[in-house]
Amino acid sequence: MTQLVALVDSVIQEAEWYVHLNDDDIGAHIWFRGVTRATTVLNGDRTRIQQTETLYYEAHRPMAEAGLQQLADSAVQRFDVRHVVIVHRLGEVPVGQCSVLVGCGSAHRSACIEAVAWIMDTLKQEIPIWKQERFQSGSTCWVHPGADEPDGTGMNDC
Amino acid sequence: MIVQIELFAGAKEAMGGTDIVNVEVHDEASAADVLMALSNQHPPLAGLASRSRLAVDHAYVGDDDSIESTSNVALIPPVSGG
Repeated sequence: MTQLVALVDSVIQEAEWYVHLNDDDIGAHIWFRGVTRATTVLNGDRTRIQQTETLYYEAHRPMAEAGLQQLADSAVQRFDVRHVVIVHRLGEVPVGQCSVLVGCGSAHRSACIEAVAWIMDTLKQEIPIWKQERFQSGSTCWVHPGADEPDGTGMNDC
Repeated sequence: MIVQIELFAGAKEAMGGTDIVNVEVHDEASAADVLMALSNQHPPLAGLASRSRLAVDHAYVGDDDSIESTSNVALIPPVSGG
């Protein structure tokens, strides 16, 4: 079994991570790639559309690393998956580039699909990593989602 | 006692880029007391601290958990990784 996690400071070399799911006894590899999007609608208001130049990610590094490891270990216990890979990039992640890569491998696809969705949902709620929007307009905004925000963009203050 | 608190993201920005702030609390202070003290003693943090969690030695703590002056404390505002 593999439960591999990493925080990286430059481009995620995806092909190098894909090999960690290789195993003749598994029939399903599921990968999720989170990628920086160009357009952001501020708090559901379509009149407030901003063009993102880049995202900037910061972490409480030791806590985030430990949290990701715990997440990978839990995924193996909760779901019928054999291998888990979680990689998160920190620093600048320009539009179109990958900020997070999550992969699961198991005998059959359903467990993998569920596990990847659960890992991403939990990561977004628990792991101390934050993104800052850096817009083409020159303005910036740290994203801190509130429970009262229907679309969860976390940019009420922007 | 004085407790040192590490700041991140919007909290650090609200304090002009400062990584660490001190708060003064009574010796038996809980995490909730420390969060309250942060808001009172550092007003720029008030909005975010009220919806943040504390971590001690790299793990989240509950409101009632006690904080020591030697604890490695971090203010964890709502996270947004992914």
